[in-house]
Amino acid sequence: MKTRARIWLIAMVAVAMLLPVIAWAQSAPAPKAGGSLRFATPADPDGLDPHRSPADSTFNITMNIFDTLVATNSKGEIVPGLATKWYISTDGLVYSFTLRPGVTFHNGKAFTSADVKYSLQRMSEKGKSPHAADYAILDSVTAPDPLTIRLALKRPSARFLSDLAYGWAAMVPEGAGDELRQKPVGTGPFRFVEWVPDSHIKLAKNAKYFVAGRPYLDELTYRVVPDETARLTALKAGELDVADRVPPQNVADLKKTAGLKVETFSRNTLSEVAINEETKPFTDLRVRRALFHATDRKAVLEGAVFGYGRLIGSFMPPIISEFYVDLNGRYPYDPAKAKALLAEAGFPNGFETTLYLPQPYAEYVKSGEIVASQWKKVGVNAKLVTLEWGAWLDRVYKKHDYGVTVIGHVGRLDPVTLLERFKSKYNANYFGYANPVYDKLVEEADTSHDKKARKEAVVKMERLLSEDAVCVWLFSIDGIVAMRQDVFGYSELPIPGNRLMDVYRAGK
Amino acid sequence: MSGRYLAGRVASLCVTLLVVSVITFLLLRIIPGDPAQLILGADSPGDSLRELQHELGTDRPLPAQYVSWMGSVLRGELGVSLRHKRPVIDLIVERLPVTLSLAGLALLIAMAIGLPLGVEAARRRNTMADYGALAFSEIGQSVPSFWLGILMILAFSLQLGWLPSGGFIPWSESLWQAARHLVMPSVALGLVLAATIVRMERSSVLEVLAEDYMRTARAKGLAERHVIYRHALANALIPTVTIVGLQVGTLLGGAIIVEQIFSLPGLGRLVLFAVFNRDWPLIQGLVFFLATLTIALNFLVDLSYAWLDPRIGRG
Repeated sequence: MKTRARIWLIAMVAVAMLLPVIAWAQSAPAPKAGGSLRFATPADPDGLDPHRSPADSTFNITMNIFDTLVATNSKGEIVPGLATKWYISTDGLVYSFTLRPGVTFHNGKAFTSADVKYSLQRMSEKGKSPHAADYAILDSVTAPDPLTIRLALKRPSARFLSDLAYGWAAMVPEGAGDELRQKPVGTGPFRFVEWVPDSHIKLAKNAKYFVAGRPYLDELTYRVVPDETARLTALKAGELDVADRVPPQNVADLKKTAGLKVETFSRNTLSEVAINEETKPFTDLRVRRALFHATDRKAVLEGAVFGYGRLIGSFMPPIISEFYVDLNGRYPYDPAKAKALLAEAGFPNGFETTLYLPQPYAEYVKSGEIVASQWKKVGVNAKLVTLEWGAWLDRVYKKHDYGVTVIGHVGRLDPVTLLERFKSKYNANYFGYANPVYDKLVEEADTSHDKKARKEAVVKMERLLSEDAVCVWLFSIDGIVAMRQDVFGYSELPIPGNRLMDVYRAGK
Repeated sequence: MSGRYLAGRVASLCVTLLVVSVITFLLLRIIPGDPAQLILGADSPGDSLRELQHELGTDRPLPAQYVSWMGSVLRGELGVSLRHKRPVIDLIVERLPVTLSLAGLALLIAMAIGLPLGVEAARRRNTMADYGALAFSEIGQSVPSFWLGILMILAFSLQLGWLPSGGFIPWSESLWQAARHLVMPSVALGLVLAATIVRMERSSVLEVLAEDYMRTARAKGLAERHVIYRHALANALIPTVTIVGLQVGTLLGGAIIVEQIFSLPGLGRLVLFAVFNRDWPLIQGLVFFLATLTIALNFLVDLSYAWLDPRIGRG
């Protein structure tokens, strides 16, 4: 007995002595300037002009080259960017921004209000800018002096400020034309060096960047590696330093690889089994609720993405913490209840349907396979049809020619930008959801600058989307990023694209 | 080669290209998928689709779309990409050296392996060497190039660390590095063709060996090496060249997959991008270009018959 106690004591002392060492090993070393980073990207961008491209592959890169008037942090808060402060008139119609003095573009030209005016006009060009609709609310833009810009809106909009923080709201030099597509010029932490199509894009440190001491890296190269296996192999072989969007099934293997580490991030994404309320039998609320009760969402989360994510009970990701309410308890997994609801709706023996799955998204295809097998237990036989992305967009999203599908959406900073998707007769509302009460709430939350009233309206909308079982809400999938062990300071933003100015190499 | 023959070939080339271009154009419009919707994706605000379609010109009547694209072809642009907003020919020219290097090296590897192996297999018919060559051919034809590519990456990049797992360095920058980056993809692509050549060459050499003139050659007391490589191979080459000519299309098709696996910035990647994004003018331009290339190569193959067998040219 005595010896055992002594062994315990020794063990505890040893652990206690090791604790600080473990803590030290886990905390990041002090930031260090210099070095380079090779980042894997699955797709070559179709251009590096932030006002002319729709793709994340563009913003991942351009957000390092350009700045925006206001920016966002990892919590989704609006923080100063090229504007140091701003003032919103009490009627919510006029926004005045004070610009940061002494900022220059990579071509040496000073950044002034004329560039802001030009950029805003370029962002709102209909047909040319994929995000023009977001800025249609602009009534006039005036530049009273080189460091002040005043924007007048046609109507109050609570989301407008956040619309200026996205990658597609980049500030470009006045007069820059189509050449931005090939040779982008911004004020950002990195300047453009070269783009070899389908091979790589190279950026270099902007030594005159307005944030002191940033960026840390001297050189940043995006290497285009389209194949998933090839991407991870190149990372393991030491030909790459960071790869994001790592498939969950590869995490264990990468963690075992010497010199690599894996980090996970909550992302602003939402996945769901979307239901077309305009087709039978899904017009019946009881049927939709039955599908919800018939879905063991936890099992789907485990099976499809190895548990890397958080369940959602409505169309709001937990990362938007200010507005998120947990409605996960509304429809517990309960096949018996599902059967009863189906019987009540006139389908005691279930029914046949087709579940459309988007081929490029393995996580949704897998989710769909699991969901379909779960639904079988309550008599709902869903035939699985996998559609290539263009075909999915055409059939499901554009023509609403479907019953059920599994899909995900990218969230936005402002909750209304997300929730307005369910407005009646709205193009993006491929669910066919129509509820006048909901429409009024969207209107209310969109125009109100009163924080409390806005939050109330948003929460009511979240509850309606849950009560009406508009979709079988699944989860918000985490981002998994694999990198060399000496890479530190990597984080993600809750908007499309990312910035790497805080990243540094502790080694070399 | 008469001028009339040449004019006939060129005329038939034009007709073929016209038919190919119309079929491609129509097929693309039938396949589900809207380029504008693909640009907007599933997360854009609702009302921009029609404006974008108008800006892209995809809302115009089909004949107008075809005529404006044809105009661009005649100007030598081959159309303007909806996504890249650049003439298709510029996008092709940027990537052509990669694909040509890959296909050319693959062809060289295929012939360097396939021809000697085929001839030796025929000479040593029904021996272990012959069976070995046949087994190689059987395996080579049934192993998909993407799988072979992945296996090679695992072995030579990950385990041994000898070769880079992907990417491309231009020849002008470093001959050595360019070759290092192209070795594995070329082998992956060339091996299937090598397997086909072994089979073809073996059977045609066997056929030639049974000919009277082979006996004559031997009777003249020529060395066996000379008989085989001078007389037999020369005559057995024609069917092989035909096969290789026909395989050029397969080679370009295989390049699409191999370029994807090895991250080579070639034409194949551009084809995939164009198809997945329904970049109609880009696909049309690429098909037009590849069809021209294939037809031209087949023409060269026809010409080579005359060189390989002088009797053909005289007709």
